[in-house]
Amino acid sequence: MEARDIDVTNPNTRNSGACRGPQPKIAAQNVCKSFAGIGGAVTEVLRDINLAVVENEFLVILGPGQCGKTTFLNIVCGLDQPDSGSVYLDGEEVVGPDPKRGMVFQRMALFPWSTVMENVAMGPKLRGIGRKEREEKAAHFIELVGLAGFEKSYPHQLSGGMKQRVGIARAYCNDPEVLLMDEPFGHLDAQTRYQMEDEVLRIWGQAKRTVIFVTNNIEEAVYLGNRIVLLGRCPASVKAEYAIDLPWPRRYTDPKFLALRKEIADNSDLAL
Amino acid sequence: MTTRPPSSPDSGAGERLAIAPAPGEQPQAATSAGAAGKSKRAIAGRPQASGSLWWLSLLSVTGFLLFWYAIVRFEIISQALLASPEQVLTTFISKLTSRAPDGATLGANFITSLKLCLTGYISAVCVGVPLGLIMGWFRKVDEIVKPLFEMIRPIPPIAWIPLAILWLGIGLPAKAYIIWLSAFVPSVINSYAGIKLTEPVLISVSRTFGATNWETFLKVGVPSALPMVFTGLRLSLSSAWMTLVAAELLAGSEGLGYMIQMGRTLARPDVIIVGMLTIGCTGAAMGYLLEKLERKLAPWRRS
Amino acid sequence: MAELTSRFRPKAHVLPIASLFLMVALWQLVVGTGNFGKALPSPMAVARQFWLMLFEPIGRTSLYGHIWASLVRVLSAFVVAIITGIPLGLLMGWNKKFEAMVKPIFEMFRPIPPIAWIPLAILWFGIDETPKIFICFIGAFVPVVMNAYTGIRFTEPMLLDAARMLGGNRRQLFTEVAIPSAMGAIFAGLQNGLSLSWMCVLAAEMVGAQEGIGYLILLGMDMSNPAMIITGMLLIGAIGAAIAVLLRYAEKRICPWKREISM
Repeated sequence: MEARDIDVTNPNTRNSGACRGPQPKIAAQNVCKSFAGIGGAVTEVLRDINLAVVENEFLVILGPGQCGKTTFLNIVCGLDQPDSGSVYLDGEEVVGPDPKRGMVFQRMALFPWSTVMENVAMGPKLRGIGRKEREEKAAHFIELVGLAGFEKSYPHQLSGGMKQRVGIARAYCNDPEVLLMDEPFGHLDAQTRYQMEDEVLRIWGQAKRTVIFVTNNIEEAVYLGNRIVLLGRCPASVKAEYAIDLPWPRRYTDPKFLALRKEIADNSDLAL
Repeated sequence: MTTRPPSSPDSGAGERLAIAPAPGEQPQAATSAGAAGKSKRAIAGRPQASGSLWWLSLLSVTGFLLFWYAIVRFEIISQALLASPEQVLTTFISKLTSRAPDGATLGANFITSLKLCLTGYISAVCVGVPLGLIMGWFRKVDEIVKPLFEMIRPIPPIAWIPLAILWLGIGLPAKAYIIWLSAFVPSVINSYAGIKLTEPVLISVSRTFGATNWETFLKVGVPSALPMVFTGLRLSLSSAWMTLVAAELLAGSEGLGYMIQMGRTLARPDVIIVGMLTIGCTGAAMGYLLEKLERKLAPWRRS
Repeated sequence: MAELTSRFRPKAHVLPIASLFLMVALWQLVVGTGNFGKALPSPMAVARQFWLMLFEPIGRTSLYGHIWASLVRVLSAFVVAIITGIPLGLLMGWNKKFEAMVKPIFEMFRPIPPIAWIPLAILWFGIDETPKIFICFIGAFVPVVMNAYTGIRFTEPMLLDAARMLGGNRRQLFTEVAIPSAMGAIFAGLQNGLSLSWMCVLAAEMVGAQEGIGYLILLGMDMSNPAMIITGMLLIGAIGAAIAVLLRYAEKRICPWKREISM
């Protein structure tokens, strides 16, 4: 797997947007972003972010809370613009949102007036695909995420975990090449979170896409990712990258898992 | 009474409760606290900030005034029906000192109306807010008072005018009663809803500190209900003002409502418009002052 | 204690109903002592009057005719207000340029209570159906526009982001996200508008009409018949509540995703 080619012994590895091997699926080059806060104070949130994502890999971006992870993901998705630097998908610069980059939101962002089926089929609907075709497609993904039977339910009738499954199905249904997940399990209770971590791996296994998964939870990062990119505190830049060689299914109690976790934790700005 | 969990954007329970068929209120724009603060970016999909569009507003208002002026000047609408902007202005200035044509200066009419409105309003909310709070907290009181209240509530204050006149004659007492009633109902309803929405966990916290029911009521229930109490105060005020105008119009001999009615009798549209604008501005000013008061007394807003 | 339990307690309904009966009985008793003269009619007198009105014409038409007259005025005004007001409010909330042009003018008219328009309306249109419908229209128009406007303005940015992410263009964001999201506010505006309109029709009828419920209670006053007035008032309250319930039912059908808390 190409991920091995990345030099992990050097904690200050910067890939400069290119890794050895074929062209990366997603490349971020010197992305910087600042926000104007209250009273005119400018907060620098992202500083010179450089990273590359290989096709079909599960990349986890790990960092402390409020360090710009969501901002970065919004920039990759095209919902926000960087102040300087660019993001490229397959060599083309990202200038706005596009169905090729699907996103699963932290707060689910499901349309409360639509049923599960209507939510999942919304992407194709906006692109003009006919009703029968998009409903068939949606049904396939609803089943993939394990919600068969709930097509006619409304979001308020669903639990947190179920809502997030709908979010995942909705992102998938639009035929994205890249899936962006913004701390999708942050608002779920621990039990549901463990369940959903397994679910997301299962879904990814059955329907392989490039995934960028953002989290502030170190166990989750080690559990899920091929590769972890560690972001520092605000202003955030890439602190280190780690390749995770462990086979799936991984176990939280496995000694290798714990060793990796310790190594990453020691290096990170996360309060642990 | 049914209510909604307060949720943006429709500013929650306050409006829904003060409705069917409520004394007329100007709907309050939803509180801006919650939703607007969520995203630092402008609402996705909308063009950027509108500070730069003030010139468009200015253009629009000027255009409107010119249009208004033109249709009167060029007799598209006869002068007997509509007064042009400068006529309105002239009449306004002259009414400040002259008693013609309805018998009192603008200032006198204004003060008469305002006095009546405020006395009715203040006495009504002094009774209504505590009643609503107590009804919402103490079940026994609720069960006794509620049926009577629910009978009175759907009847619009204006519908009381004939009965009030029959009982109290045409004059101050009848008007005062109706204004009192129109301010009373929304303040009860909103105080009631406000205190009903006290979060149970806060009540539990108070209990763990050993507070009695009465103390919990005063220290937790009442403050927690304040935002909705203020919604009720605003609705009551606009209701009282509206009802006052109606009462003066239908059965009055002084005040702004009477003035615009006189304007019609004497076919003086300029007087009518001056009166209408005064009524509108006063209503808006009172609402604005109340909002400032709320910001001082209850700066936390349920969004 | 503000209890929010939802167990069905049959005993809980006994006290309010008993209280209501008690109140009516008290009313009857108080009037029976004769202290109020003709001013306060007994519940029996009101009931008798109501019975009479059901079968005998009053003025030009029967009771149903009067009710119908008032309803027609309100409903026609309401329909016009919806057709003009909702699109106006939606557009104002969505398009900044449109908002900059239209809102200041709207804000000039908005604080003027609809009832204050009555003299001008009568001056313009005389005393027949048009001024009444006009006043009711103004009454309904303002809340409908304002609520549609705020409804759109407070569309959750995250929902718009989600739709953009899925590939929606600006028009689709408006129709597929902003408008459904504003439905709750729109219906709140409809409720407010309808009840305000109902109030306005009464005022308009009291100024000059030959039929309608407002006319009825005014007639009761002229004839010194408080029983008629009270019957009229109760009818007004009942009908106003009924149309509000109908509107709420319509909302439940059109917006099945909304939940309500009953207290």
